[in-house]
Amino acid sequence: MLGYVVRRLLMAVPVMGVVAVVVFSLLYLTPGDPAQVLAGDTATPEQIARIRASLGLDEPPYLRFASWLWHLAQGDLGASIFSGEPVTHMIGQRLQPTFSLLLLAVLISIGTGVPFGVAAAARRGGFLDQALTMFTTLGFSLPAFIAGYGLAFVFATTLKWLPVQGFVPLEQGLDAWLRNLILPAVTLSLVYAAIIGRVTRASMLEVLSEDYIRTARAKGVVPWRILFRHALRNAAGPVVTIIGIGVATLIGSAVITESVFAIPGIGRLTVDAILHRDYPIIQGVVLLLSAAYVLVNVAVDLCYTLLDPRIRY
Amino acid sequence: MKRRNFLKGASLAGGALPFWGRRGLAQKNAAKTLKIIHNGNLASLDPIWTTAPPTKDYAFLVFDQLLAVDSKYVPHPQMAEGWTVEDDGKTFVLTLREGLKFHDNEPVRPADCIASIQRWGVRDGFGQLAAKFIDGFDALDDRKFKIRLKKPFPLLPAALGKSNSSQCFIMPERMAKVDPMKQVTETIGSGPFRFLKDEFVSGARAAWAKFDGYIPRKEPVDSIAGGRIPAVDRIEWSFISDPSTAMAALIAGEQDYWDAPTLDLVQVMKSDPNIVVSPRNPTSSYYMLQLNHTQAPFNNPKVRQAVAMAIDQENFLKAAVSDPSLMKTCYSYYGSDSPYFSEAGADLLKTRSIDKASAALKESGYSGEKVVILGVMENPTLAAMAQVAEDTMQRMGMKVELVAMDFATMAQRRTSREPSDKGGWSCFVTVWTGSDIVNPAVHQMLRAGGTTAWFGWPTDPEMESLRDKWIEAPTEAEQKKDAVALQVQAFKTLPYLPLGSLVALVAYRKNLTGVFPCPVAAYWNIAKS
Repeated sequence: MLGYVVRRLLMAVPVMGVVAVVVFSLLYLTPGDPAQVLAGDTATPEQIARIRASLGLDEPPYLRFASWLWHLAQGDLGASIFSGEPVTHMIGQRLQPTFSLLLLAVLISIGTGVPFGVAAAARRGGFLDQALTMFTTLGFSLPAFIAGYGLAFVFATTLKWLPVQGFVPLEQGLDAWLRNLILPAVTLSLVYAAIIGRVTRASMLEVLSEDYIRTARAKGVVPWRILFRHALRNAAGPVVTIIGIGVATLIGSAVITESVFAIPGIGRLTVDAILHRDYPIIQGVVLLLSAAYVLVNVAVDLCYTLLDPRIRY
Repeated sequence: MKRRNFLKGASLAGGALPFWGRRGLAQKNAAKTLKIIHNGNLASLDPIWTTAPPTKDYAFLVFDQLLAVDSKYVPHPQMAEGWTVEDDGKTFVLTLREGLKFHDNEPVRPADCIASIQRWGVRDGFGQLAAKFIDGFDALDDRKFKIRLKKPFPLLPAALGKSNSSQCFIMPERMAKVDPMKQVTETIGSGPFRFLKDEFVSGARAAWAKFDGYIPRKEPVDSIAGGRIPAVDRIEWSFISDPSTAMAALIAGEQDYWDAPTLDLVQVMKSDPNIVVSPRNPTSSYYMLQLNHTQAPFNNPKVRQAVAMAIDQENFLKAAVSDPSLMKTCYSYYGSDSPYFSEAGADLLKTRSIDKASAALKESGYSGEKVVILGVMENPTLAAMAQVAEDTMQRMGMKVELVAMDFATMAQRRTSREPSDKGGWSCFVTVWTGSDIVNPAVHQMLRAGGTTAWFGWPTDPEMESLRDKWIEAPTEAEQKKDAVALQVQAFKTLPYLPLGSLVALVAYRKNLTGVFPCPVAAYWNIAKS
């Protein structure tokens, strides 16, 4: 098992290398000059050139890439062109809000999607099944910014139960942290819960038609035990896969959700960096996200071994 | 439930208890904390290094100025006790007020002021102009210093006290000695609020605490002149990029003040009895269609004149806002509140006729060259006006392409002097505040020095010569005469086409007091009950 984890992590290195090259190339090809933005409207061409030189932007792309790789190998992602702060520090400041949001969204999604999917499969064609179909259609078709505004209007502006926006670090109290995260996490989890619910339902339906389920029923095992003990464990493979894949979707949707609820997370940092052409931040964030995605996939693979004793690495 | 699992759950819950119920720590001093929604991203903390508006707003809290202009752009002492002019206008002697301190409790000295003026003089346009006149500096004692000039420069106080970016903020000498092309890393000023750097998350939130050592002036506040009183203990900025969220946060009372509310949400906020929506910046925002004078078709003055005849400012302004009270036409190259405001020479711009413009276009020799408009789509007002420009020129009979892009892309593409089919451009809509166009010294778009002029690179030696004449004019009357003559000449050359002005609003909760008219986002004097 440990050997497998090490191998998978080592395999991630070339993947991230390719990501680094692609990101660097795209940034190089994208129009926009941070020196021009920095210098302001009154700067002379000479001043802009001096700023460009001071930032190292006048060097050939291959030299800039080599320099970036060299620093990366030493754990240094460089400094923001605009604030001058180390990229690692800036990303570090944004990790807690994004991680909190993703964690809560994943918990809500699994906590609602899986039971809903199981119940819909158990009552195929019944009310719960139809309700799931309706919910998933809604979840798939409702853009995060519409859902976010709707939830904020009802629960924050009208009922005043929850705050409209912002993020409170966990150190300032669990309730404040949770109150600020509920609406964005629910917004973010709508699509994710819908996907998990659909996949759970389909997978459960397949398992529930197996012989050993019929045997269990014939033996008089109580229905909930059949569903959750016998069927769900065997149906969980595709669900775990979709949870892993869904994390990537969540990261993408988090950009919009963070913007709607003014959460100072990685998504907002990325958008601001792109708009300002703050190359070191963009490169750092993309690398971080690709690393996170690789790790999630490794975790998913390891989950398979817990769910299915036949799988060994 | 197994006993072991129960104990495990109980211990986890117990561990979480210290976190639970600590809400309200920040609310304890809510009345003394002013919470501001800022639309921009505060990235750099050096107001000389960048002209980004959030950095300017940050700097007005942290730093102070030697002089400051009032609402009529008349300079007054700010950190200075006063100044005298000696040696037939070739020497300025400035005396600092007693007891001025930086946030590290070090006294403000002439050496700090001299280094700050020198650094500012490298980067700012008005500063560069002043630097050409400055021969040297002498520190006379702990509070007094002398600025020696090569020849009289009556505009020096206006330059030192200017309200548009970059202002001459005073920093400690060690900060001011940093290469002007590199940003300072410290945040030590002598202004009314201390920056809390450990709470700063670039692009997300920033906080300041009242500087107890600050000594405000006794005079009432008037624009950026007068007493800058820190009326709250703490200021917090949240950068909320989504306008609907910002409005909801203000209405819900989570925030106190929204610096630049989106105009189409104004009516909603006005209907809330707890919200005040009012113009704060008396100098408004002025919109312009910048033309590329180096490429066809706008290298042809007759084509420029034809388009000027077609421009109907009301069409441009109505595309951005529906409330007529928020818009104002302006047939001048100076802002409505500028001492040089005049409509002299603007007859062509008042034509407002597509038919006449089409006829003039036919006579101009226009041969169907494509007009490429750079449209900045992330700004709704600029985007709407770019679309009106496209429609206006199409109705005149021109071939037009509106290219949608973000600001960073536009900022780079506008530097291109290539033809429009090789990555160049023909025109773009831009915006400046009234204090940016108040006089020929700060008005970058009235420069016509060809390659040294602003993007579009108009060439008109007569305009440059009139500007030089204005700079050296010894009296206010002569300054006004020269400034108006410069405008008349500009309306012949048409470096850009004025599109009118929109009122810049702020929205805040009714429990705020002391919100005063100001061309910059100044948060001193604002108290909260």
